[in-house]
Amino acid sequence: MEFIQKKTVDPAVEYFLLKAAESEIPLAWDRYEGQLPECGFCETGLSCRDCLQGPCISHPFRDSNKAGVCGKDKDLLAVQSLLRLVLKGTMTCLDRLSDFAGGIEAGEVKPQNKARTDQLLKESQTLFRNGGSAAKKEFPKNLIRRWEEMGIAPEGIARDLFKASQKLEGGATGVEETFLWALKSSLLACMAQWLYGRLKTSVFGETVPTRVEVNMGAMKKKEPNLLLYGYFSPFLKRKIAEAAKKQGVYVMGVCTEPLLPPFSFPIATGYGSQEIPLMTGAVDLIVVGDQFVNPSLEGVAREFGVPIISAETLKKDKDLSRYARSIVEQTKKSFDFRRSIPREIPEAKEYATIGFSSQNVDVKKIALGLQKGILKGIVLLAGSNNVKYTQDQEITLMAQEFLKNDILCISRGEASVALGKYGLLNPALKESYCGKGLSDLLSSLGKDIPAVVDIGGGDSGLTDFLLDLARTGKKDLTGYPIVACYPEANRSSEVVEAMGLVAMGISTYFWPALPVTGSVKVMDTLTKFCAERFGARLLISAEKKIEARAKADRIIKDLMGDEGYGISGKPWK
Amino acid sequence: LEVGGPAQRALRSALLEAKALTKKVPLTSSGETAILKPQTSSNKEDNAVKILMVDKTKCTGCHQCELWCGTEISSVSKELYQAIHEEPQPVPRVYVEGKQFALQCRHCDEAPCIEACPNGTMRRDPETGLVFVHEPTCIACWMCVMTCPFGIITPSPSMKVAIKCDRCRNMGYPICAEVCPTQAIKLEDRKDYRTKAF
Repeated sequence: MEFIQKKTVDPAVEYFLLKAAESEIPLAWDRYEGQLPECGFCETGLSCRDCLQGPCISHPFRDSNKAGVCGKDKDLLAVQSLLRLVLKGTMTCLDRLSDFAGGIEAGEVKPQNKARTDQLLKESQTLFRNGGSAAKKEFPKNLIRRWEEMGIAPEGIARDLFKASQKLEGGATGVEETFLWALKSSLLACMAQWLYGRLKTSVFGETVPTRVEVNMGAMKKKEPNLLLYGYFSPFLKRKIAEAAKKQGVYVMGVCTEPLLPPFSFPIATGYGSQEIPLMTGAVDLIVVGDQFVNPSLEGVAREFGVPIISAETLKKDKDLSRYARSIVEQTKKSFDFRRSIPREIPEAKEYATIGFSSQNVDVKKIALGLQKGILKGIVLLAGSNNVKYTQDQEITLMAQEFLKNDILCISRGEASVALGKYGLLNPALKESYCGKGLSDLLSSLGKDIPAVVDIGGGDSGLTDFLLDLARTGKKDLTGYPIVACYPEANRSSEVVEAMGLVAMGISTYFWPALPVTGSVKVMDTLTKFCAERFGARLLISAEKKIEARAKADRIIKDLMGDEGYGISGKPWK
Repeated sequence: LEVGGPAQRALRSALLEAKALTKKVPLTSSGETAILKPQTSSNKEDNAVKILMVDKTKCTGCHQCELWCGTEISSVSKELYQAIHEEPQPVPRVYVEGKQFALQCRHCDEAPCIEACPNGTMRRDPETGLVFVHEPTCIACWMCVMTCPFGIITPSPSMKVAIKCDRCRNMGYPICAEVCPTQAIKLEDRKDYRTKAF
């Protein structure tokens, strides 16, 4: 059993933890401790409740119930637990794309690049229908060929998502076949995510590196503060931002896209501490989506008298401009109403430069740096917080270890928020984190490049960057010393991203362990089988208690080998 | 031998001494001895024995107690993720009977297993009153397995010893009671129901 000794490394959050304990407000950490020990069968993937004869388990210590009623043994149970996660994550990505495409078709915005937008809209429709032939052209030919040979290239929702979901119903599908179905579904999700990013660029324009404020210190004491939580229609967000600008309302985001050109939202806090901003008393209204939003927000908001509006309801206002205006009006009213409530804003504020892409970072220089051995490798950092680890500790410690060793760190989405809170995305602090080689290389890329480069904001940027890198070096991604690392993952969409990266040939380290540890066969599928087929592995650690630096060491050793990549000139294995 | 003669008296006293010695059972391999107390509930101290009470109405049959007992008590690694793959397979000391009852050793006042054990392997801890198997001396005769009225004692599948719940006597708190999500398993003082009944 495990207990979290230290809940967070963010001093601002820690301050409010004490306050929460005093006023007996339960937070994610308290609820987690209340849950312990978590169900061991679910944790190891040895349970199933797909039918009403169950729930079934495969008991690791008893011979009488090794298989479920329908005969699913531990290997099948474990791989299907993974498939279940993947299906959920796939729908998350598809929802974003269809929601956004629907918004464009409804004429919510005038796209910057009309022709490109129309073309991408058509592509998204073909992606849903038959796997999108145009999108596949962007990927390296031999990669697509490899996927097609294995039958995992996306073929549309019906063939990928629906068929894959039927593997949970039964049939004689082995472990590896089921895993390939999960990969097929993940690739559809990755294509959808990539297309969503492209579509966003063509509608709103290319993102440029933007300086945003991170952490709760960015909140305003004398202005109404409106917080946007999670994913919901970017059009509504933009309209809220427009209306708020006119009315003098300050808009911030939590677990939401911080950049929607021409607007950018300061980031209030990370996923793990999303209830904390409400406790400052300085939040006047929150608008929430579904993805990344903890239902506990409602209770904390009630405690502090903060109105909460769900943007994803059955009967919402079709006229987004009117809806946005009413939200901003309500924020102002709420601000007046809440004047008597003390506003306690911590002095925790950091600046982060985010929004790089392969358009404004020279991929050629990076490829050359790798070739010459100036850069020892590239680590892609992603994933949000997980209550099982001290908030932000794993990712920041690991990033610091990588930077010291001249390994280029690229982050996306929530990982950028976690790193941004401690100045790792602040260009002024670059020198203090980076090794000499890396520091020089980053300086050569541009003036305001921080130690960790945020790419894409969770959309197409990262895929584009990787594809550009493969194109520049004229070799497969497996030939590069790149690994992806999810130090504190928790969402199913992150599992999908990780699976997609493995299929593209990038080894991925994933913490915490996925619910497959109950079966050696599935663990082998993730490592040996994937290494054979894709030249990359999805690495899950069965050890629970490893220090963050030890994890980083393991990755560094994996990247540099005994002799180190660039120096020996040997290809990375 | 002369009846009542000195030789017979000497033999008799030697026999008595030997009988007294058999009551001194080594508790540890280092040869420390402890004298066993009489094993009846008439002894007041025995009433303080804490045993695991199981509430049938609260047990959901989730098998968490089995899982964690196997991990904490029986595995080498003590980590669930690794214990699952261990060979030989860890054996939990608690057993979920049917759908709604987690069953483990009741640590009977008059334990048939102690009576049946031919060489003092099945013992009662004089301090806590808990019945346990002293594994090094077990000869795998399975007399305890046969006499246990609850069917709690099982032969180990991999080694020639009898295994049973010792209520985690070397730990602070029994693991099954700690992990039970509905608190169906609880650690309580044993009540003397006989006094209540009559």
